Amino acid sequence: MTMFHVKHPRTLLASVLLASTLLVGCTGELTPAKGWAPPVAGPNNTLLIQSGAGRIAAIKTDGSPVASFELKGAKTRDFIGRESQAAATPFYATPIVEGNTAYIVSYQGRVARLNLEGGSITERWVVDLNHHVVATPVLRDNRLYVSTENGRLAVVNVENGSIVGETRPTPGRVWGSPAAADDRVFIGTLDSSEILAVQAGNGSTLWRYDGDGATAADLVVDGSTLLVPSFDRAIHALDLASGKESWAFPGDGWFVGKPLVTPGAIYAGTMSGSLYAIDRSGKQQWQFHRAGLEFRATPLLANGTLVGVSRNGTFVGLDAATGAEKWSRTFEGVEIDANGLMLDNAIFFTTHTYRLLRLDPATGEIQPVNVQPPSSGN
Amino acid sequence: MPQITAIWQIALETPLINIMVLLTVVLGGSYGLAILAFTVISRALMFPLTLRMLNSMKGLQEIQPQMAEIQKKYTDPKRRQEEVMKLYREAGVNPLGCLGPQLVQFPIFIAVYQVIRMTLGSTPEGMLALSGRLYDYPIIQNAIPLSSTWLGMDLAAQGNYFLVAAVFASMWLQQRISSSRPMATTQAASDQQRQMNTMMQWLMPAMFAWFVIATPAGVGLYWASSTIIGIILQWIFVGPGDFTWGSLIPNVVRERLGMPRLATPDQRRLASRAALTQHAEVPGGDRTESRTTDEGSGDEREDSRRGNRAGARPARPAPRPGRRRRNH
Repeated sequence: MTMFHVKHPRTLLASVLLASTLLVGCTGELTPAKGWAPPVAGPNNTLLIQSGAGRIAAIKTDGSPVASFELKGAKTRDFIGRESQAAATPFYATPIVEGNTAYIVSYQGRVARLNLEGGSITERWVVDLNHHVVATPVLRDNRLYVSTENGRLAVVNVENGSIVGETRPTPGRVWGSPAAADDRVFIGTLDSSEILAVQAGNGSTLWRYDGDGATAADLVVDGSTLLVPSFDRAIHALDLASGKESWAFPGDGWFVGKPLVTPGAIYAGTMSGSLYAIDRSGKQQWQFHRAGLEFRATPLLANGTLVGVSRNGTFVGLDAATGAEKWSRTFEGVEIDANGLMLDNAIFFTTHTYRLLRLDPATGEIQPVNVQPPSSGN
Repeated sequence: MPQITAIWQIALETPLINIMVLLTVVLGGSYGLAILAFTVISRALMFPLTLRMLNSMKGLQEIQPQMAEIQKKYTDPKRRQEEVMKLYREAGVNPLGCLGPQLVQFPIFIAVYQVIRMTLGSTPEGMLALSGRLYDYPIIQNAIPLSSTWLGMDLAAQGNYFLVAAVFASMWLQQRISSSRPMATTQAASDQQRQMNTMMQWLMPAMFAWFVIATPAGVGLYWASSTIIGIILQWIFVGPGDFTWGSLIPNVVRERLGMPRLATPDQRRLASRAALTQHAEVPGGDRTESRTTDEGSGDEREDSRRGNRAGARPARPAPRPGRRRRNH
């Protein structure tokens, strides 16, 4: 803005109104945080789904409600000491279910242990890590390893929610779920393009691999190999013991989703519309490509059919052995970033507006599941 | 509406995203430098428009003595308005000439705002959305994510009060320099205009400062640097008018330093009107115009360029060179 010389009040008023409208219209978030926590299987043949920002619902597979729970925002104090509660934030981390217990982590960095017994969801404890969390934590030996967006790795005692250890192996963001093997935790970083192996007991760094691209995907341990999907348009296979690269498979776009590892092949999708099947030496078995698709979610295998879901709501069913297309369906008006869950011969997906879809992997038929509100929340 | 969105994205937003990413890579991964470089480039591309606007400002400034004469000579508002419009035509000045470049800047500002938000991927979904916007060149694709930290500032974070202060101060200064020009008007209009200018001097910087509080700091960096470039261009091509750096020192400080007090707004207004009237009455006179913002102070600067030129000008100005005369 160089100069405002306004001689007429009407012009002034119109200018201010125009500017205000333009500016206020631009203050809304372009892509608000919605969370991509996938549905997970709960106890007694239930589904745990993210039913809203900060809300978890336990439902039957037909959508009938069992229970719900809201993880409220953290309490904060302003500069004059007034207490207020922040708005609930969505979940990116996949809930971890172990028997009748679930662990959830909100984007705001609130970690909670929930009790799922008796058809209700009750809170055991909540601990605040005070930084955004996108990565799914790792549960190991009664410890929850949670990576935050500021590169911190917090170790939470699941019995009482106390933080029993923490280290900051990287200054940057961690979005992919760490992987664990023996007494080591492997972390992929978004900002520094590094892969780190950390000693679970004391947090010391065992090795560090400097990659060419960022890692936002969950890491996968496959035998003695660590699979690292990367923004450098490749999947890197690292030796677990040394961190040395065994092979790298080049794709056509960002690998953002967690690869699916099966005895016969490794399946992975790219944000440029390709699904790949590769063998354990990093050689391509087949490629499926369709322009305009973006595969963020992990592909799923159901009775020889590989199901891939694009962010724009297009589902494709491929022959897992050849990559030949069996069917393709598009569910309009949705965006899907969350991984699917296979349960009772169906695959369940949640959308960015927290709708639940049920897909038949044999035919590709998609049905929205009418999730009924619970009669009383917990 | 989707078509408009698509055009907006394809024609402006997506190229800007890729330019910003490329600049970041070229400048060693520094997003802050990329914003500064982008600001310079965008201001350079808009320079013809800016120059047109500055010429309009300069033209308006130059015809102030004639304006004063018209204000004095004609009491009928309708006739006065006709004469003013005639003067504009003869001088080749368009009082709305300042508006075009401002309007052009708005879409660019909004696009920059969106580009900064998108390229820094403030949310995980935002990062994924970026994937479809990047051109398929490894140098661009592999550059993501960009580092948002620059000189200790997180350019993706909101509420950077240093940049808020920079935006407010630069815009306030620009408004102050812009309003430090005598305008020939009637008493009532002058009072109204003075109020308006005073209000604009505080309202616009406050509005943009508020906006910068609520947006990523990178937007504040762009706006502050763009405003500073605008001040420099204005200073070079139009001149500072009656503005002096000394006039920024408040009277409280002046008294302690033993400096003369600044004129009050009423004093400045009267002095401004007197100066213009004097020019209008003695068109051929060669004098140095009295200062209106810092009367009698040691900070006064001889503005002989404006004073001489205005004083030497005939009652009806010759058309400005290079400008098209209309309605003949």
